[in-house]
Amino acid sequence: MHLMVNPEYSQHSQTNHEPEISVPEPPQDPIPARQQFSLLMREHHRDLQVYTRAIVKDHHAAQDIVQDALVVAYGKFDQYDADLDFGKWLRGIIRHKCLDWFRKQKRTPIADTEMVDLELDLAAWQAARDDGKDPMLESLVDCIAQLPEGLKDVVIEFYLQEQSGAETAERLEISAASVRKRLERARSQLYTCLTSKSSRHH
Amino acid sequence: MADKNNFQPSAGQNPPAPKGDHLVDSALAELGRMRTDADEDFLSRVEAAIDAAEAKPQPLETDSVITPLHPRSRRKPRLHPAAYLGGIAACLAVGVCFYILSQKSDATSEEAHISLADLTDDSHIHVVDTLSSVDIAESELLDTNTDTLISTLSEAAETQTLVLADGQLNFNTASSGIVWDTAASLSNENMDMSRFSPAQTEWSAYPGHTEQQDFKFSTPEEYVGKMQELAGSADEIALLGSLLMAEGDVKGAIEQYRNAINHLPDAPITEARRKTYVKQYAQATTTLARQYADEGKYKESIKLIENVVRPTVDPGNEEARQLLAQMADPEHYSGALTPDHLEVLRNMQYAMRASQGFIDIGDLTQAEAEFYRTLNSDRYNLATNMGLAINERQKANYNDLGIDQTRASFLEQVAEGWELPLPESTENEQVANTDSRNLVTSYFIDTELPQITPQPGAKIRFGAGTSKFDNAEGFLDIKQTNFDLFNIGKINIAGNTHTKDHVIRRELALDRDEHTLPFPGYFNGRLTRSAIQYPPLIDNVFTSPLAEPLSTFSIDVDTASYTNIRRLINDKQPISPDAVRIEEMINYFSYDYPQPTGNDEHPFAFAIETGTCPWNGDHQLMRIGLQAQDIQRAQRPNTNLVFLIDVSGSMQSEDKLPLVKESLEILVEELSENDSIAIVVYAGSEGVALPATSGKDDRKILTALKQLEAGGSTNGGAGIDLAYKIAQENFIKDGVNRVILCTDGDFNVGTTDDKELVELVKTHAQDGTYLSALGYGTGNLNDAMLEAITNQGNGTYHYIDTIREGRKVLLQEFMSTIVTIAKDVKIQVEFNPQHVQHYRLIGYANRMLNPEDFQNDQIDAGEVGAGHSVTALYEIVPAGAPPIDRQEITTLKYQKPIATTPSAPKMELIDSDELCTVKLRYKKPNANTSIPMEQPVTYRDTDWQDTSADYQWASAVALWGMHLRQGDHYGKENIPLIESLANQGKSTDPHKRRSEMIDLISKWQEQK
Repeated sequence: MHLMVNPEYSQHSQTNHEPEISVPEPPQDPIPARQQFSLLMREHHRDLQVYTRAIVKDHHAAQDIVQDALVVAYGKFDQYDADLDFGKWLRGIIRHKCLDWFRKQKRTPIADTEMVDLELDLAAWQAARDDGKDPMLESLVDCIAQLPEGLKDVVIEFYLQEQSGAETAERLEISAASVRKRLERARSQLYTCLTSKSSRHH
Repeated sequence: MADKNNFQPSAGQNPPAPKGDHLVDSALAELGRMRTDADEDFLSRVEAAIDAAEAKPQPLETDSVITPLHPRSRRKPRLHPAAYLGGIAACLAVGVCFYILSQKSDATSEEAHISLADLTDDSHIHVVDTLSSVDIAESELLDTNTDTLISTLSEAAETQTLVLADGQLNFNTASSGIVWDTAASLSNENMDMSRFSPAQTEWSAYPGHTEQQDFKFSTPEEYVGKMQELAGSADEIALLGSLLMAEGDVKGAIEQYRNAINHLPDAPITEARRKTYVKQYAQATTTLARQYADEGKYKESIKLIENVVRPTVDPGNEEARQLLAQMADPEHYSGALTPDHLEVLRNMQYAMRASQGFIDIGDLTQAEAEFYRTLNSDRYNLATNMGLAINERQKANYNDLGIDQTRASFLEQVAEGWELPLPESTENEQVANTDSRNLVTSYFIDTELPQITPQPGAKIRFGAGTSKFDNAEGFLDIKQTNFDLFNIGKINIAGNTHTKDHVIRRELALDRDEHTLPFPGYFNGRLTRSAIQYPPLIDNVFTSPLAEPLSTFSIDVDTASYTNIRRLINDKQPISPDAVRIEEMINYFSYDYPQPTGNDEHPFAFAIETGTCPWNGDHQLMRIGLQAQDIQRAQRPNTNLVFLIDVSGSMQSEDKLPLVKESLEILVEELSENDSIAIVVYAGSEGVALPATSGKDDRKILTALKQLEAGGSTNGGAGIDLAYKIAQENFIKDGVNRVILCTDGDFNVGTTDDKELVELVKTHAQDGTYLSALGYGTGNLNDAMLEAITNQGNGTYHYIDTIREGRKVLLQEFMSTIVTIAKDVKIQVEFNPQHVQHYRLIGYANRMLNPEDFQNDQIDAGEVGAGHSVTALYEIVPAGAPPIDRQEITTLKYQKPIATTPSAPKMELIDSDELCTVKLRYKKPNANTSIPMEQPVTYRDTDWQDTSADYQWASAVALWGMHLRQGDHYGKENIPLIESLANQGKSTDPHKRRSEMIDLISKWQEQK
């Protein structure tokens, strides 16, 4: 039904003045820092995982350690100098964490010298990777492809198909010792490949 | 677990691996494990871990508490006293703890000396490893002695960073030696710089958000100075925030606290301050959030709280977390309560206030608009619906709501037969050319209206429906569209043909304040009784039996005139003579007439008494009493009743629906298991309020009665059809089947027009379901209609103004009301001229019938219910008494009187001792032919003083009635006679009705 409403009275809501609903700005988080950190993390985590795994030889432990290290690193992020090598910084933390882990596992930690070697190896590898910014494992795949057939097979079976040594031997119809030897050779060749800039495909 | 990579021989050392071997091995293994989403999984796990870590207060985060409200000497900000006190209190509470410690640091020393005298019970000392954020050492001051403390700290201090949590003391890292700041020291302008390690060459601070670059200082003085400066300005901002908070400007306070926090540089030295600001910020935010929550703004509230529980703000804030929990808890905050809803509530409250305001000033249109506006928000809002009903009622008082289609058409129909004879004059020719409406209006205003002379002090009020206007013009303005021409002649009401006179008389004979008079033209308005000079009730005059030996009248058991007079006297209103129907006054009372004996074939018994006339010694009085057969309650036939109750808004007042309910409750007590009662309502709500229920289910019936409510609009419904339908469904053969209509006059029972209604009622009456009506309220009772349909419906019509009357009608006269003994009952008395010179029937002024009507079964007459009694008084001038003054005889020119009256043909007198013969004709309730009954009467010369109490009482009533009608014509000296007659006639008076009348007479005398 059509109501004739007195226009004077249609403005009554003016008296009910609602406060503006505005949410004040929070104190600013170092959001840019967080994003920054995330980016760095994304960039380096593979390397760090590989590195850590090389130390503790255990994938899951490596992941946990890297995670913890990253958390700690984030807490210290305000102290981080952007000029520093993020990876290096993290690896320092990782090393400590690894030591803790060895302690907890009651295992003999790898020797310091070994750790240093690892560091150097990785440095070399990263250097080959155009300042370490290329995805680490991509170049690895490339290098694998360049392996001679026999070595390649064994790498694929053992590492990529995640077969055990015995299974690989059976598959490839070679002896277990043979598998071992071939793997060593493969690794060596791969390393050469990885650390050589010319190995990279564009 | 077997690491498949590790399948070197377990014993012994590994041979030195070739370069990169381990790394590649690891890389290959990783490659093997690589899945497409593995990376993302890992990264998101790490992110989550970071988030979790952030939520925990980290000792090294900027989370120390100190209150900075240490007024700086340079400036004296004006604080609100509360803020000031709060600040001071906080300062005192905390400040003491933070008294500067005069530390000395020895750059190369491995020890940290802390003056324990300055530490308090609240102090904690933690030694924390910055790298791993692991507590290395912690001590409670209370249970540590000095030495242990120092040694603990020294040990820790060696290569680690020292942090004292709880904001007590902060230490910065240093590569060699210890430096530290005290947060409190910022307030001390004379900070001892020597405690800064000389080895430290650089001090840095992450800037507050006001600056973009990190601070770097090369001297402690610079560092401290800058920090002091920035902290100082941040202090002021925070102070402002506290001020605003104390004033109640929570939003402003939040803003200021935020500014303070952002303004503060991020350094260990300022951590304590930051924490304080954060706490204040959190508190203000929580307060505002709580406010929002109370207003139903849950989203906004939650957003606010989230600002507080951010990891970097104050995640541990109990109050904020509690509020969050409360918002999820429906017991605290109703999920349904939204700002919209609150807005609606507010709007409605406003609208209700506005509407009431409108009603108060009489602007009902606006009020209604406001109510509908509210209903748009809340369809079922009770207050609004009540308000609407009240508004309707108000409107009914002011507006033309009473005019509905049926009434208009009915009244039009009434007016149809009327035509205004055109005045014959040249003026009228002119007039004749004008609109007929104007003609009638001007005729009425110019001619008719001036002839209406109101009683002194009274007003003529015109109205239709429930409107009342104080001037005819106003009324006419509105009513012009309803004009009809009228003619003088016969009109049709409810199927019967009546003369105009009769109609008017009949209408005016009803004791109401207002009447629907079919006046000329449109004027079917109502004129209040007090204002109008009625066409007089023409009393019967003394008649000679030679001229007219037969006195014929229709009996009527109505009693309304008496109840009306009673009301007028109680209300101190003047009594118009034409309000007085003497026969109704007499019939109001019950008399001790003998019941018809079982042998009688008739359900009636005469009770005729003669005697001298109290007010005229020469005259005689004959009291004819007719007693209808009473039925013992136990013998009464089974009754099927359907109450059709008007529940329109106008029925709300005390003397209407509540009275209906009360009076019906009385009736319900009378019913038994063989009776059936149902309640149908109309006009307001519709339908069956109580389906046909056995009379023994008192509780059920009474509950249904109690729940009847008046209100809502006056739209009609299927009221009467439904009522009849139920009556038919529960029809009791050889029982009493009635529809009883209870109304205050608004008649929209569901028929489209009144002809239809009357037809309906008539048809059902013929089938055995009668219609009776009970009128309530002193308002606009549409009696003409009610009377018409109860007539056609072979029922009775009673007006109930008090519960006492209700009790009388429904309980004490229950039998009579419900059980009709006979219908169309007429009386004819033939007087013997030998003994009667003149006779005069007292009362029954509008019940007279023509002599030939007595035998005419077509002529409608009154009904008599079981147990009713009817009384008629004749005043007789006996033969030989002095003749009365009469002016009826004119002298004829062409005839000479050879008998005492000229108009009668010469008759031979038959000898008899009888005074007269009283004859009765009645029909059985379901019959159409009348049955005669008669009783001859011989005069018994009894002095009135010796007559029966009933005789005297009836005389008293009659005399008072005559006095009321003719005023001082009877002289004041009759009053004592009335009183003595009344007192003598009072007799036992079980219901105190006669006493009541005696009181009324005194009251009436006082008012004269």
